[in-house]
Amino acid sequence: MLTTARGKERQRYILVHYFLFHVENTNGKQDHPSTLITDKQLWKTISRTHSALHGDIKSALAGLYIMTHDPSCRLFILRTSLQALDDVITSLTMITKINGIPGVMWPFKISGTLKKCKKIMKKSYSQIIRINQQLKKVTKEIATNQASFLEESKER
Amino acid sequence: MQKKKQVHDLGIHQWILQFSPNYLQDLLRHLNLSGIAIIHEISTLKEINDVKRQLKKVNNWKHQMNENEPVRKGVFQNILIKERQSLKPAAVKKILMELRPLTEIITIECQTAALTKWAITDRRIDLLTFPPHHVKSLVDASTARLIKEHEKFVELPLSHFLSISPAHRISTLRQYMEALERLRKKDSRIIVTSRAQSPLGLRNPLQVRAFLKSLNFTDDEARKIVIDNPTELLRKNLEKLDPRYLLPGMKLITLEEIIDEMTRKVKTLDEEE
Repeated sequence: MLTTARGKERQRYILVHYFLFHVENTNGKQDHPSTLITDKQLWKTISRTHSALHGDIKSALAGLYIMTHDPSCRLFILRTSLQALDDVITSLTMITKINGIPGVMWPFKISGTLKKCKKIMKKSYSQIIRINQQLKKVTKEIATNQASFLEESKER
Repeated sequence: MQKKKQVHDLGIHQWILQFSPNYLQDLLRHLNLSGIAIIHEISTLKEINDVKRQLKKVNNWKHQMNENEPVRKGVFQNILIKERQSLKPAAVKKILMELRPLTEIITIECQTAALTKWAITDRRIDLLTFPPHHVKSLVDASTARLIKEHEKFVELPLSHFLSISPAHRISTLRQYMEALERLRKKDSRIIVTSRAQSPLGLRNPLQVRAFLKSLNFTDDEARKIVIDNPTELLRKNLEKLDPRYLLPGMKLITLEEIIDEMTRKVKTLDEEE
């Protein structure tokens, strides 16, 4: 175990952006309530994938914990031990469903302190909101294209 | 100041063009990517004209460039030749003859050992990809050595691991790990692509590196696979697409260029003295 001078385990904070494929707007502004993911659901998704990939013992050693979560922006900070950092990122890579909804997680910043991670999180809000909007638009088009393709193939 | 390394994802399907250039730039910056290659699949001779049309469409999109949209410079094209029963070697050769001068990258999916051996020796092909359930049998020690000798790249598509059930994932991982170990022993070059069919298939270099480390690659090897290999492939092929290119290490130059080069050399020598 990698420890600090005081004998405490070394931690890393990962800033993660996630996105869900089926985002249906009820009033054109807010996301549908079923697509607003809670901290617990996120933690469950990550730890399930982590234990499926690396085993229960390694996931216990990873010490996964969600420090901050912004469901509207779809950003969260995940704490993990330094030793398990690569394994945790691999697990985030392998996630294709979040709480049963097709989705993706992109870890984009790793920091040694929570303070710095929060600072970067605040800075990237505007960019993330813009990306989310465009992703919604594109995924909707892809979904309609796929649906029309399926209908066509059924007709054939 | 140290120059930022360029990272490319050399296999994304055409849905990515639905983004406007500005948003595409934002997305790529967010994913820490400096360039992408758009895949055009081809599996029969009849599709040549369709692919040519698609290539032209993307080229037009790229050339409607203005200074505010530098992202278009980072968009390349990749033709993926998929071997089907109807596609015979002569047809593959015809596809290569017609499409090689129009595109930056040519990938071939090798389904049989014979095609693999042929593809390795053909200079027009850059990337080799294998179906996940045959990769172990197709990439043996001699194939790995040949790949190294002929300076070919082997593609490792991330979508092979993401779009399957966990039970299948285990067998796919096993197949790939054995094949990658052979390639690693022979020092063959590997490239990881996302082969994303939608935004859900996109992964950033940080994730790819972590994934490679999980497959027993060292940090240096993972960095080479993610950063150096795609850049090298693109550099080599962009050089080939230059109209003045003749042969590897040989290209036409004008007399003025020679004079410019000479004067530059003389200047540097003077400065040193």
